[in-house]
Amino acid sequence: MSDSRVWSNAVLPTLGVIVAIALWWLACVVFHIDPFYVPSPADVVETFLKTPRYLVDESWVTIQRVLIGFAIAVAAGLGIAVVLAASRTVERMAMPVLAAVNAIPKVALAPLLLVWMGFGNAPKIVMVVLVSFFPVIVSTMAGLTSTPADLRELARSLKASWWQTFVKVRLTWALPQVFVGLKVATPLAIIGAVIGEVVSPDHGLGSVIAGSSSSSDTALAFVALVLLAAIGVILFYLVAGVERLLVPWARSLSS
Amino acid sequence: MFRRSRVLAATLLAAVLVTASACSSSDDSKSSGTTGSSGGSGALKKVTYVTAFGAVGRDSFAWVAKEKGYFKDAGLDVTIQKGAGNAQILGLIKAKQADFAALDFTGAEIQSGKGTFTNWRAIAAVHQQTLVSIMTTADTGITKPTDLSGKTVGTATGSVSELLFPAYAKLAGLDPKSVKVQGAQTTALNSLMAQRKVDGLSTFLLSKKALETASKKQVVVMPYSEYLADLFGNAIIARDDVIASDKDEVQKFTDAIMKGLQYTIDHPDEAAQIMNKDEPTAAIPAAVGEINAMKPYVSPPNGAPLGHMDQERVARSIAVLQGNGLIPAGLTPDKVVDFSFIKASN
Repeated sequence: MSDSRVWSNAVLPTLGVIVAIALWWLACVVFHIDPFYVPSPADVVETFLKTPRYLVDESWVTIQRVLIGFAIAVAAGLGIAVVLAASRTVERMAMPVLAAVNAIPKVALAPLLLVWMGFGNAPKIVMVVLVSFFPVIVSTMAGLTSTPADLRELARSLKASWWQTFVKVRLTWALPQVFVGLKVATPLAIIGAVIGEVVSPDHGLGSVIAGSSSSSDTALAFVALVLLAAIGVILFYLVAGVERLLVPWARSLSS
Repeated sequence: MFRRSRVLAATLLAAVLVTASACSSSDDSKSSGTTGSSGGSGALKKVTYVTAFGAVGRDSFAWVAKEKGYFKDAGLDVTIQKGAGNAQILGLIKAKQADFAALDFTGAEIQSGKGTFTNWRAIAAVHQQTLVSIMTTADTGITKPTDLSGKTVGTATGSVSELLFPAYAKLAGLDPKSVKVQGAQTTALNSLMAQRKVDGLSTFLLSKKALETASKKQVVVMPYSEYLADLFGNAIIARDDVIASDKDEVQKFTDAIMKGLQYTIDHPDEAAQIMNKDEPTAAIPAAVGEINAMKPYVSPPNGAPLGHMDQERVARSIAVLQGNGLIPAGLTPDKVVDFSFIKASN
C-alpha cells in the first residue's frame, strides 16, 4: 500500500479513536465526574482486566448470536426481496405487513419472546432477525428495481431467459444496494442481540450489562458497551471488505 | 469470476464453521419447562428455577444449594435462570418455561387475587416480613412517614413497592394523595435518590448498602413491616401442575433449597463467593450486604422451621390487600400457598 493509503486507511481511523478516548478522559478529569455516573477510560480498562476471560467468553456468545441471526436475516431478506421484486401483486400485499412488523418496538417484543421461547439462544437469534431483516429487504428491492433499461434491453437482445436476466443482470446490478442494506443491518443485528440479552439475561454482553446494573457497577456496563462497539466496528468493516471483494466494479463505476 | 467464487466459498465455509461451533457450544442451557418425564433410575431430574431479581445476595441461596450438592442429593439437576421481577417470572411460570421460582409473595398474591396468574403455589417463605421500605438519605431530614407529606417518592413502576405505598401511607398516618409517586426503572432508583431528584424511595431495604455507596450519605430506612406486619417478602413458588404430577419431587426441592437458605445466612461471605463464581457480575460486597440485611427477616417466629408460612398470617395478608382495594374478594390462602409443604411449627 502506498503511504497515503496507509495514512487514510489505518492511521486516520486509529487517530480518530484515540482522540475520542482522550476527550472522554479529559471530560472525566475536568468535570470531576463520579465513576458511578461515568467511569473514565482507566476505570473501564481496570474493570476489564479483573475478569478478562469471562468478558471474552460473554462477547463470543453475543457474536455467535449476532452472526447466526444476521445470516438468517440476510438469507430471508434477500429471498423475500427477490420474490417481492419479481411479483408486483405479492409486493403490494406484503409490503404493509412487513413495514408493520418492522415498526413494532422490539423492546416490547422481547419479554414476549421470553415467554414463547424460554431461555437460551433461540429468542435472542429471533430478535436479531426481527431487528435486522427489514433494511436488507428494502435495499435489495431498491437495487433490483433500479436496473437501467438499456441493460435489460441488452439482455433481451442477447436472447437471455427471464432467469438469466434476473441473476446475471438485475441481481448483479443490485449488489451495491444490497451491501448498503447489509451495512445498515449489521449494527441493528447487534442491537437486537443485546435487547434480547438485557431483557432475559443468561449469557452474552447484554446479560453483563443487566447484571452490572443490579450491582450498580457502571464501569462493567461501560466495558460491555465498549466491547459491543468494537464488535460493531469489526463486523461493519468485515461487510465492507466482503463488498470490496464481491463488487469491485461498483467503485470504478461511481468514482 | 474466479476470485469471486473463492471469496464466496470462503464466506460459506466461515458461516458453516460459526454455525457448527454455535450448535456445539455448551453455554446454551436449552432448558424449557419439564413435563414430568424422568430419565430412568439414577438420572437426575431436570428442573428450571428462576431467581427473584437476577444474581443478587437475596437470591444467592439457590446457587449455594446447587454448589453444595443439595439439589443433586435430592435427585434434581437444577438450571438457575436469572429472573427480573414478578411480572416476568409469573409469565414464565404461566408459559411453563420455569418450574420453580423465587419472587415477592405479596406481589404474587395480588396477581393471583386479580386472576392474572394463578397456576402457582408458594411452598416456602424466604422472608417472613415484607422488605419494602421507604429509604431516604440523611440530608433530606425525613425521619418519619409523615415527613413525606408534600414530597416526591421514587418507586419502580408497577412493582409491589409502588402498589403498597397507599396502604402503608394510610396506616402510618400520611395522606397518600399528598405525596407525589414518581415511577422509574428499578436500576435508576438509587441514582435518582443520590442526585436528590426525589425526596425518598419506596423500594426493598436490601439495597440500603447500594444506596449508601451511590449517594455517599447515611441512609434512613422506614420499613413497611412496621405497619404492614402480616405481609411476607420473597417466597419460593412451584407450578401447580408440577406439584400435581410429582409431590415428592417438590418436597425434595423445597428441603434442598431451604438447606441452601440456611447455609447462606450462616455463611454470607461464602455464599457470595459461590454466586460470584457462577455469575461474575454479582459483586461480592453488595451480595454479602444483602444477605446480612435480610438475615433478621428469614427466621420464622416462635421457632418454626425455616420457610414456614403461618396459615392465619397468610389469611390476614390477604385481608390487608383486600381492605386496601388491591384485590377483589374471593382469594383464600389455599389458592396462594400449598400448606402440605409447610412443616408444622413446633
